[in-house]
Amino acid sequence: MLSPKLRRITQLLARLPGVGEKTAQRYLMFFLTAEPALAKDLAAELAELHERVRPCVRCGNLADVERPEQEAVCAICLDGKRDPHILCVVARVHDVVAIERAGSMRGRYFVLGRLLSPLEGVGPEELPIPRLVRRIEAEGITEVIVATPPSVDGEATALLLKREIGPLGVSLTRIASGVPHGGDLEFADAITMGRALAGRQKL
Amino acid sequence: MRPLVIEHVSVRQLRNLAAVDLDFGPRFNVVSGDNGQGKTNLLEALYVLATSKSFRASRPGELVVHGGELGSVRGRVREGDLSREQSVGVRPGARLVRIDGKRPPSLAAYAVATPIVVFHPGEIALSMGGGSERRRLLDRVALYLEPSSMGELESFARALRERQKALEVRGVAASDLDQWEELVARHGVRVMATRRRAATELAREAERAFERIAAEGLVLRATYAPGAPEDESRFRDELASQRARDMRRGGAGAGPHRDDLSLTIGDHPVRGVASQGQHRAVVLALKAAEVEVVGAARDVRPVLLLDDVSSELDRGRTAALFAFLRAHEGQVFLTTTRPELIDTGPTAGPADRADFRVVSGVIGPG
Ligand SMILES: Nc1ncnc2c1ncn2[C@@H]1O[C@H](COP(=O)(O)OP(=O)(O)OP(=O)(O)O)[C@@H](O)[C@H]1O
Ligand SMILES: [Mg+2]
Ligand SMILES: [Zn+2]
Repeated sequence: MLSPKLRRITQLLARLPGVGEKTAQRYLMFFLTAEPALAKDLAAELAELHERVRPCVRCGNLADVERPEQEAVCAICLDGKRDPHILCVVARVHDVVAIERAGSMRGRYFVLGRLLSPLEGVGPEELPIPRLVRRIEAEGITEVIVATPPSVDGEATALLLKREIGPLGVSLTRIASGVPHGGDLEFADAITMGRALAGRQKL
Repeated sequence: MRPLVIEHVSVRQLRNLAAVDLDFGPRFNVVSGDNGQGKTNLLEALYVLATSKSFRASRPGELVVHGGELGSVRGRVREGDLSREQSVGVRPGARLVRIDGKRPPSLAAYAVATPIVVFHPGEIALSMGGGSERRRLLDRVALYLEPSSMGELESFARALRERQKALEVRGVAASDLDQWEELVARHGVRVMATRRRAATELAREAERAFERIAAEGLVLRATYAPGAPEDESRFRDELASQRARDMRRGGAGAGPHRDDLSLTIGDHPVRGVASQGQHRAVVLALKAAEVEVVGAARDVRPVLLLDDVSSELDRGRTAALFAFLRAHEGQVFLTTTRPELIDTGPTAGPADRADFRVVSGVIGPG
């Protein structure tokens, strides 16, 4: 039987994705037996997470800030070696990480934060398209790569972007998506991001 | 066609089967037991082994033993001279499939590795019911003709629901309807193209089988009846022109979700005119066609699962069914509460017929 305090911690840990009651208890036991500094350091970092990490004001990627009210600009936006004319539009921060890992993207990013999906309460108005359009115009971007996922919602978002960005006269491409695959997540990433980027096609 | 045999199976924590390890014969395997003991559960486990899906549960989680977290079925399948190990792990919301310990390239690739056809009493709806049972038949066959059909159907259904939601929330002027309709039509025409191929193959075999089963002079015709224009741009136009109606009705009037395999006997629709016996003959003809078409697609003799065979069938139909089963020559699993009524023909030993008995989820020799 766990004490009330230990039970509270277990319940919090069990809210992490992929962590059940049993795993939560294992983590807890690990913290109890490891260096006390580990729990302290992790707690201190987590405590200021939301004040010290904010979406980049330019692209939506995550960036560190010194003070909560400071404007966040991410490392990729600050990187002077990036091609300023290429912009890659993705759904989530997670996708920036995946594409960066592939290492073949020379430009910068724009994170939509969500995909078009009426079923999930996201209509065209809920997407930051005006901000994207302003950025393309203001920065003289000439190539936009749409890297939304190959799901139906990702595809619909790409079609919507085509309608909104197409008239701006930039080169607009969509990453290759491979063959459609049946539902389950285990098969979701059928082709690698590097190949998807290399195989991009005119939208 | 090469024989296909499930030689051994190990079931863990699926429904009321806590731990079942069995060796099967290459021909008839007769599973008997009283009501509610686990006969259908064993067939379901074999179906899950072959396809990763159940023929009766809608969610994978239902399959797991009450209060359990993970269920699994593992088996050795012999195809011609080669043996392979297949396994399926089931958890609420997820499935994990392996062939010889390796992850197949897709779930569809797994599902067509071991052709299996199940006959169960509910399938009378193939002849008597609305279109859904017949669409499922088309889709089962379509998977063998075009492995991407599973993904196309899911994408079509998702796009259709997104469009309906957009109509419901923002009305006929919603600015994203064009995008959803483009995707509905794109995936929808692919679904229809594969279903048409499946229907053509099924029709040929079903018409032939019906000739053997039914009374002389009766002719069955099966034709694909698409639920929308099979041309992508015409389908899109149709969707765009019917937004107001679809919004009022709460569903799209056109689309492969309205497909059917239309059945007639002597130019009359089967639904409505056929007698009970004729309905059963139609179902048997369609199932025989399914066996033939999926077998031909993989060049193997599919494994057959027959749930609750003789309980409610008239003797004429039972005779036709057993004539079909004896001619099939492949592996057959039958469940029954009355094994003495199951006439599997002359039996020289377990290679011809193996008997099993189920009591509360425990299975032993019959
Ligand atoms: N998820 C589950 N966990 C545990 N037991 C289950 C689960 N689902 C069903 N059962 C049990 O399985 C039994 C039914 O098994 P099954 O449907 O195989 O019976 P059967 O032998 O085919 O019977 P019948 O002759 O009536 O068709 C019931 O006792 C039911 O309570
Ligand atoms: Mg049963
Ligand atoms: Zn940035």
